[in-house]
Amino acid sequence: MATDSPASGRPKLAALPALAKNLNLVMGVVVVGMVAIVLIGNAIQDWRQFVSVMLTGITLGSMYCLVALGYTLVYGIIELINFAHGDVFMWGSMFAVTIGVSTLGLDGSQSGIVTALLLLVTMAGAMALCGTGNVIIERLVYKPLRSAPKLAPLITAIGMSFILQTLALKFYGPSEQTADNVLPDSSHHLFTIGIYGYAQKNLIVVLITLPVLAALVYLVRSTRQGKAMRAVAQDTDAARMMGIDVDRTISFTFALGGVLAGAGGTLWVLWQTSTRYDLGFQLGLFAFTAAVLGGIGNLNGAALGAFIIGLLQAGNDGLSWHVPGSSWTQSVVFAVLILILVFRPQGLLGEATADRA
Amino acid sequence: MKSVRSRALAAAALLAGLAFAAGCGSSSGGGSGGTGGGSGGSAGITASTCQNVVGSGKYTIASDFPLQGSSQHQTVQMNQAIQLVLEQHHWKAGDKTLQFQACDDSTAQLGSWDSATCSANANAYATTPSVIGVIGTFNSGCAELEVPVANQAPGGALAFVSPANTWPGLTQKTTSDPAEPLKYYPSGTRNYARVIPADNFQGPALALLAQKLNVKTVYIINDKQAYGAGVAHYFEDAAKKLGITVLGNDAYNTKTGTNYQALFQGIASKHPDAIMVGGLICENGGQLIKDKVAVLGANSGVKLLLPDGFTTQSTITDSGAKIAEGAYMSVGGVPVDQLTGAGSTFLSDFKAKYSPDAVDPYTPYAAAATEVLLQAIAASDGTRASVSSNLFGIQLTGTVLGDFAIDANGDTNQGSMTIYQAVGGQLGNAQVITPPKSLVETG
Amino acid sequence: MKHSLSESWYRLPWAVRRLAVPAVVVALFVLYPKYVTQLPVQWFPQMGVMVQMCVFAMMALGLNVVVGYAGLLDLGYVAFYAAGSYIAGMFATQQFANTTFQWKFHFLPVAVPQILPGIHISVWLLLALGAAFAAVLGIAIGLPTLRLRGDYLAIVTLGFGEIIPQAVNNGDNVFGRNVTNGPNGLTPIDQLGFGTSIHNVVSFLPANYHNEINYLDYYYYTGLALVAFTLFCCIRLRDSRLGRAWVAIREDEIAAAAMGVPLMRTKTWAYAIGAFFGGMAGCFYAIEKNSTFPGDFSLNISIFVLCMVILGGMGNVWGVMLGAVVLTYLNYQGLAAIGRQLNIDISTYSYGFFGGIIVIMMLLRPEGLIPSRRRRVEFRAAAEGVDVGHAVAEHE
Repeated sequence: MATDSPASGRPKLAALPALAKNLNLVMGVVVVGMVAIVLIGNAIQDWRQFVSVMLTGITLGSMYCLVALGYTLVYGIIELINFAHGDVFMWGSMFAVTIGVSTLGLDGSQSGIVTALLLLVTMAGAMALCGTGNVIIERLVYKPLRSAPKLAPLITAIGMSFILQTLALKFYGPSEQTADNVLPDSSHHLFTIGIYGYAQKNLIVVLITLPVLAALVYLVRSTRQGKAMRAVAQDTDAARMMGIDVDRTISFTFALGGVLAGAGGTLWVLWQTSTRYDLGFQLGLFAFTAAVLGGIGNLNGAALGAFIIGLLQAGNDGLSWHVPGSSWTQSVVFAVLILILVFRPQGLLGEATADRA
Repeated sequence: MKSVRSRALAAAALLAGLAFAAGCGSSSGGGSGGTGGGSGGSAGITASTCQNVVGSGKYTIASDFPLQGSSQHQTVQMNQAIQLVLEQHHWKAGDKTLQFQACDDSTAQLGSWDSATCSANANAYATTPSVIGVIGTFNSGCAELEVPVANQAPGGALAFVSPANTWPGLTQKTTSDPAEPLKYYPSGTRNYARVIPADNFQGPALALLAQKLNVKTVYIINDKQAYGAGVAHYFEDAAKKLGITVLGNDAYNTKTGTNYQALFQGIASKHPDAIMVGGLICENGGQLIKDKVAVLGANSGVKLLLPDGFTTQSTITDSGAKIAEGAYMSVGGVPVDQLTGAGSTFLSDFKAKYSPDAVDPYTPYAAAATEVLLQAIAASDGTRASVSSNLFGIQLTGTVLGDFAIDANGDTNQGSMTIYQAVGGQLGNAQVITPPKSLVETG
Repeated sequence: MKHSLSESWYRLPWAVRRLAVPAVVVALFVLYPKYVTQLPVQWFPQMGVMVQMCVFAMMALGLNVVVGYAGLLDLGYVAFYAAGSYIAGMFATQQFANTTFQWKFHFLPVAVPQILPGIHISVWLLLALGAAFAAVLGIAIGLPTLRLRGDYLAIVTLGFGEIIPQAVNNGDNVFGRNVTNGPNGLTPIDQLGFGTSIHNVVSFLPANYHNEINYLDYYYYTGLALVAFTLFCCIRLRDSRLGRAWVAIREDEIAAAAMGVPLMRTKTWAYAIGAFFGGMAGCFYAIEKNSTFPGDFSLNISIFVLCMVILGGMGNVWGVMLGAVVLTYLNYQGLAAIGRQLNIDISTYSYGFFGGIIVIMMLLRPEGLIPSRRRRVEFRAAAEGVDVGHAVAEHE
């Protein structure tokens, strides 16, 4: 545990660690219990509304998931909060608009197979461009700072975020970039629960996210490159001694994060049919929160955290029985995050190592 | 050693990239046509937030808008409109020669209006003797700071004419703060007028429309900003007076990237006949409309009522013509696409000169504000106090917005609102609603 | 000629030599309002920008206690700035004379008419109150969260930085009561001043700053005094027992705990003291600009102040002040001045330029403009993988 159990070493505080541990447990149960009561209360009051809102939350969560993984991958390997990652995601959505709409002319009028093929090309293009872009950024501005104090790359990432936003503003202008509905638009419902329809495209977004996640997990778990990544994350020096090209591995990680952001950006445009230069700001913040919530550096944790944040946001906006309401969404998301971190400092699935937590 | 060199290389590459961005900037920024210097003219405002003087005259007109961040595309056009009007008047108001300076009340790091910059600007106007009037501000909050400073300026109260402030308390009594509006005028004389109807006209007009549409229950969402929450508040009051049940008045998150499906699912559980949105299209409004339609269905079913923050073609472009179809949008006077007479001439001149993507709804208001100020200056004896006192009771004919007058409070008499409907990707089905006095809430 | 000059310099007594440079710098700052208008170029910061520099210098010094001294990353410093601002906004305006409150309470207000409704407490007292309230808030936030380390602490502070402005924005309906006036903000705020009775005795102290034509000069001098106070506290703290405990925690938390440094108490002190100066700066700024709005407090401000600390050189008060001066100048005047000079509309890209400057600075000098000596050694040791304590000991 990273807590300060030897708080002061004075005898009268000797009992404190045990008490604190129990207090953590008690408080944790209270928090989880309160959330559970609100959820159950809402479910009883109107289960149809409850189910539809939760389904929306899952789609939202899968969006956050793709972005959160990018944060967690980079953090896991070089312990950098890559503030620019949300803006890479934004660029992914911009690339998707440029490739899909402007170049390939996707507008929903094509037949199913053609649309699917063109979509695949669009997504691959956005993924490739974002991956390359992320590597270029890494080589240009983070690599020279690898041995610098930890806060220097953090500030650099903030600066990079400003630059990426400004470049998007320059090339795409301040207004929204819109795309036509390529997926069946939101009036096409898969099923309806009472008055609430579940749009087909909400499911499609989740269905596209899942294989991407599976591929990522396979890559990190089972391939040579993935093993190298994990080795570098665990101990850079030891990995280097074992003959792993550390620089290449780090670049590969950034490429992977960029690719995920590209996929996420494309999905965003498919789902919401528009994007803007400042898209990355709030989404990046929430996705990063999700990564920390799950235990930063932990892939499963990031995914779990993303779905929790998605559900929380949807629940707070859409449920009506004793929830704070949408004027408090940010506060609710961050308050839950703070409470969880206070009672479980390493995040939900994080390992309780002294260095990380 | 290697790391130092690679750092220097990286820095050089970045510098080159920035120089490129700046180069592009100059080509697009050229439209402002700053001739610089103002040779022969009076000394302009030296504050660094103000751009170079354009034209050269004895008197300086300043504009005060947030030129950085999210409202930039609106404010740049407003400055262009002011310049166009000044050019068409040959930089003269009566026998007085004029020059123009565009000032910025936002900062890079905040990306929107900044209260410190607003106060600093107000001081700069007050202490620059050649400044005879200011066109601004864009945000009501900024006006709350600048007007009292200008009110106590040396040489008499300095005139402000706003094309965009809609907070009623700037000119009238309100129920929320008994000290309004007098707290903005410490010297006791008035110096502030606006050409846009305040929210207490807009809200009732939309409520009357709702009544006409046979709406029994309405749900209000607002952006929790001064403008959006204000319109929503005045709509709520009027709707209640008209016997419409208000099911709720909640805030929504305006950040780009927010999804509103869950929010509307919650609203759907209350079965409203109509949704009223207090906000702006540039605050993720397109997404809001899309998600409204996704959850509550087309606007022909559950009606969508939008104030003038949405009354622009880009509302239809951002949300999609099919989705926007049937939404109601209100505006004081006439929206840009439907201007007639002097308005349409102005619009075609404006498009010819600046070729904008789409003309913003605030652009004609900026032109009208300029015309008000020019007429007040022409009628004055050249002092600030005289310009300010000439603002009130002024009558204008044949302006961009048609004929109108400014009353003793500084409000426009264009209290009638035009309400448009999105039809086939255009603003159409215009109808005029004039809220009766009983609905226009005053303190 | 040159030779003789340097010779005569060294012939001066040691005390004179040591104090000469600081004295010149102080004189340059104190006399700034007198000569700024005479300067031939307009690149020099205007008085308004100078006041803002004072505000941000105070905030940067405060954050430096948290980040530079104690090594705790704080991304939500804006919360304390907001706390200070709203103390000034609520207790020196007509806010509590609204429809849900009809309170009237005056306590030694300066230049406020007796009949004015609402709560009006002496603004000088509010400077202390705002700072104290922020410090209490700092302790309240710090107690549950400071056992987290590094990036977890950063994200928790970021959370508070987002929650507090939202709470303020929603504070116009606290169970039906209007406490903060919500998005419309609080204005006008009572102005600083010394009151007529003091003014009549000491005529150069104005009764009310805003009645003076050069009122910004008075705010500047007040700001300078507050910065000097902050600076003094920061230097004394750095050299105190507490300051050494912070260094110990920063360098090795476990070793520090083993040596008997009470971790929680020491960290909480850093938080409270950092918050204290943030609150004071916020209170002063709100009074100076006569208003406070929820929109003034965004994550960008926290990051802006953090950039000052890191750009200037963490842990070094002079570096941090330099960082504050440079970035404030760029944000409020420099970028616009550059754009004006090049006759381009820079406003679209200023955000990006700002980012570019940060990135380039970090690439060329990641330890900051003026790093503290001990910090530099720590960084070098960390970069080379040497034990920090060893490296520091060797250096000394």
